[in-house]
Amino acid sequence: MIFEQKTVLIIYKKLVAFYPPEFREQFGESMKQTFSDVCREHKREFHKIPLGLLIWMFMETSVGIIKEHFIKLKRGKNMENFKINFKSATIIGLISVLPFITLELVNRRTLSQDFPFPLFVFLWLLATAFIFMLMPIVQTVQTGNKIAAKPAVLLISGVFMVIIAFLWGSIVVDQMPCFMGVPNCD
Amino acid sequence: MSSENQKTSLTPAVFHILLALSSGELHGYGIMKQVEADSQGQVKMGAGTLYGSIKRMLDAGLIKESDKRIDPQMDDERRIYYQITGVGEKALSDEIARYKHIVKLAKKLKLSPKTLVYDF
Repeated sequence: MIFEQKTVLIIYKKLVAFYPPEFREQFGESMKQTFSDVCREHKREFHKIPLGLLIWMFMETSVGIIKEHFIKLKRGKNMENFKINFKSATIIGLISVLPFITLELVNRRTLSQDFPFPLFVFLWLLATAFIFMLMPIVQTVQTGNKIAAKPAVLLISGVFMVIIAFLWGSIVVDQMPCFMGVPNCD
Repeated sequence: MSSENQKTSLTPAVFHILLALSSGELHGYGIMKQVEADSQGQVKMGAGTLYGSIKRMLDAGLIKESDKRIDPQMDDERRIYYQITGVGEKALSDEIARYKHIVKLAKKLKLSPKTLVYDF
């Protein structure tokens, strides 16, 4: 299969655009140049650019993109923020479930009754996920930045948060009689 | 890869890049070709691995950018050339010494590539 060097170079340029900005600025041009060199050399020697070589180069660069993002995340402030946000979300999530745990313990009909651990763990995880998604939005507002700077991320987070809130609210409303100790509740 | 942990072994990519640059300044594609030639075609490095390694090697001071010039064998575009630094030469020589020690040990244990199956 013969590929036009110009076409594959355009696609490769689009791929390189996925590198973290600092990396792209430093090496983006060199990477495109090197890719172009490899294609030119193959075309000169074999009069074509093999599909296998192209797939390998695209895959290899894709792995590099993931690696660079991961390194950036690991080294940078992002990871620090991620850890802090996750810890805070876990604690806030637990606090939001604590009143219902207390109600369940206080209103238990019999001591031998099984404590609904899975239910509370699920509620805790939902609350943690909700807070974890909410925190970056709150932080963005607090720092005076526009929350609509990344509309796609905001929209996806918003949809997930609505689903989580609805699910959490539904479970709490459904289970409230049990928390209150109403007999024969399920 | 900071300067204080240079005693630890180099990654294969970093080792091959240092080895390629030990014979002179090269640009990205030149390094790729040199690595392939040095390893007799065993090591093929793509742009992702190459520039990722170059970035970390620049940060660690193992290599440095020399200048931007035209490769007469390629097109008329100017390319960034890289050169090995003193720190890089030291790291390379330490790594080669480590390899020599391993080969010596293997010989002592009467091990040869034919008797071993490597699974990387």
